[in-house]
Amino acid sequence: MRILVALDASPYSTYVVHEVARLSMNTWADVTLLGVDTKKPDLSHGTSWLSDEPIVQKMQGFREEFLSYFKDEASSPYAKTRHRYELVPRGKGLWEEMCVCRGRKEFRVRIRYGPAAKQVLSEAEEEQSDLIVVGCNQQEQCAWAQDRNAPEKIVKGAPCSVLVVKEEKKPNKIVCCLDHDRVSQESLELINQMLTLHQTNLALVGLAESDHLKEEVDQKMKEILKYYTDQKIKAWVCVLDVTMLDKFIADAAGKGIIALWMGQRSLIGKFFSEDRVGKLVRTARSSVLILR
Amino acid sequence: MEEVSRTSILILDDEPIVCKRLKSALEKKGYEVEIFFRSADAFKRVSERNFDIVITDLKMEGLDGMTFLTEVKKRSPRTEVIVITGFATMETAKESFQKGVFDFLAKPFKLAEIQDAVERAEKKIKEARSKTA
Repeated sequence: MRILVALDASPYSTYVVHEVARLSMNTWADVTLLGVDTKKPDLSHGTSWLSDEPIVQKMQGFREEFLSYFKDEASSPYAKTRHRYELVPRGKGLWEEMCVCRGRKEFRVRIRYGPAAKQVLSEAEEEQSDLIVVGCNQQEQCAWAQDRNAPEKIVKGAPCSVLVVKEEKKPNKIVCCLDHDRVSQESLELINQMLTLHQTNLALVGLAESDHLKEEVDQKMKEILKYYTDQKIKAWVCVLDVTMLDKFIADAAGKGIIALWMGQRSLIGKFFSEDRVGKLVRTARSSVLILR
Repeated sequence: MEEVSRTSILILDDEPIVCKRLKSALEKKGYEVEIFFRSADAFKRVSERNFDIVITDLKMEGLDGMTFLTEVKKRSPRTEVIVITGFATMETAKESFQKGVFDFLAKPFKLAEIQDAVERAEKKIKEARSKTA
């Protein structure tokens, strides 16, 4: 699993780092901490002064925070145990052989300059991320300091699943809205990892477009429920008419992590427009997981 | 002319969709792949022959993946084991490496990620073979 963590200098980013470190302790994921700054630095006088830049110092702090979860080097996936010489680009047309140290799993800290959402989405595309994790404040507007709507834009444009982390508390349940037979295997797998991380219960919500479809949906949801009960996970199911989706999500959004499957063939995507997803991300009091 | 044998891979996962996806991708890369959905069947197969690489899920009905990989390593220490799991925990990751697995991948993952793990395992196997040849 490859996790991309989008960070800025705000306090909520610290909690995001903790959340991802806990997930990575379980999953041994390849992790990239990405800091984004809107102001491109002037590199005409070299790069040595860059280490004094606030974003660089902040990212160094996040690196230490993350690695503090993996103090036992013998069992850390990120302990630098493998050394080898690699050619590293050092400027236009120039490559230099340098000794590069890697762990069993990749852990990178990167900084990009430019509009936050655009840079995060480019990184996710290039690195083939499975999950983007982004924090935001819990106030009326889910905002980033330098690009207010960045979390919303990331959710809308991401090629993969996105976890918007809003709060520093253990969720009491995960409320998961799925289409009856179109949900992707990857989405179910991501829910499994979140359930394992939080050791919490699962509410499965199936969606039906009309009454006659409900039986079919019900059947599929029973199959998914059996899968979870076989895994000894406490789960329950309800089937909801799509017309009730708005109200249901608004009620559920404050009680636990809310997960919406928004894949390409998603029924939720058809009835729950991008703007409404944006509103959910902005206004939900708890964390939101958009599955793809 | 010396016949070059293909690297053999056994895949065990109780999700048929996962097995089929991996089989198709790895066969395209030229590997010899056998898939199993039930650990008892996979266990029977590894009793009959050794595989170069075993890819196994952990949480399964009956014989669990940890017991299965322990048996695989006991019978054939040269077999490289790659764990794939949907319910990853710190304990299972640590235990897997203590038992000598080559890599530990949490689901979901892209095909490129498991292909990369398989290629690295294959390289290690070939290096070990060339040293003993």
